[in-house]
Amino acid sequence: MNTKELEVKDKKELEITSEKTYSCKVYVPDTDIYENDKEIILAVDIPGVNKNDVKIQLENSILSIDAKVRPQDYDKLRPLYSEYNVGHFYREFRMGEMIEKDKIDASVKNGVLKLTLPKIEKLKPKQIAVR
Amino acid sequence: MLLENFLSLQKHLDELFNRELFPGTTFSRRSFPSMNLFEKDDALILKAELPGFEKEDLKIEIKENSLLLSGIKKERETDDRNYHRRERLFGTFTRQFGLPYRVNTEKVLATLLDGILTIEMEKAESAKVRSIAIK
Repeated sequence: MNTKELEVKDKKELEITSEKTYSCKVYVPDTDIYENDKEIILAVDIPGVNKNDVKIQLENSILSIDAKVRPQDYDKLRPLYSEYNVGHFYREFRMGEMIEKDKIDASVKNGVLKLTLPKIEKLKPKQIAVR
Repeated sequence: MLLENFLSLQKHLDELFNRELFPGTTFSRRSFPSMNLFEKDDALILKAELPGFEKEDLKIEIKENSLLLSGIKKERETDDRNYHRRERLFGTFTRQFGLPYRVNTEKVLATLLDGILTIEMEKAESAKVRSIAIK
């Protein structure tokens, strides 16, 4: 078991590639990416986002994750003291492998988005029997 | 909430970011997790982003005007993983947080929703705002 002491990590603001029409804050979510023979798996931290407010797209091998927080959670709250700001999340990844688009699985639990991207069959390593 | 209000919240949080809760005290900003403190009517509301934590893995203790939060985030099933990127953190933490008022420890509500911990604490009777009639 990992018992490392957790440290504060500053939220990283998204550097905009195209200009936005409004100045709402957008952050780059912390992400773990790992793979096995069959799939590529992403775990993305999106605290404060409901599963219905996550949009995932895979187009031209660019995977984009767009997650919106609920500003209404802060209705009528007067901020007294602050250590972090609140904003939406956005991040893109270029996929190096061919993915079975129709079989992508996504779930959100405790503010973590888990994406399972199955690799296209022919790319899985195959054992060739030597005759 | 209108977008305008959301932007105003973000601006307000930015402004508060560099201000200390208790002026003159050396207050560590480098403790995990980062927290925001809000006020609403007769309650103090503390929020922290804790993605990946289960509610069983968090412990909250409140005494008068001091709050102690501790927790552990476990990494599950790490066998035969070929990592490309590891940005998410795992481990333990303990953080003490001083509250600007005493709170009624009987009236505290904590919820963990979508990775956000919200602790709503009612101010102690002595800390509540009261209108005083002039005799």
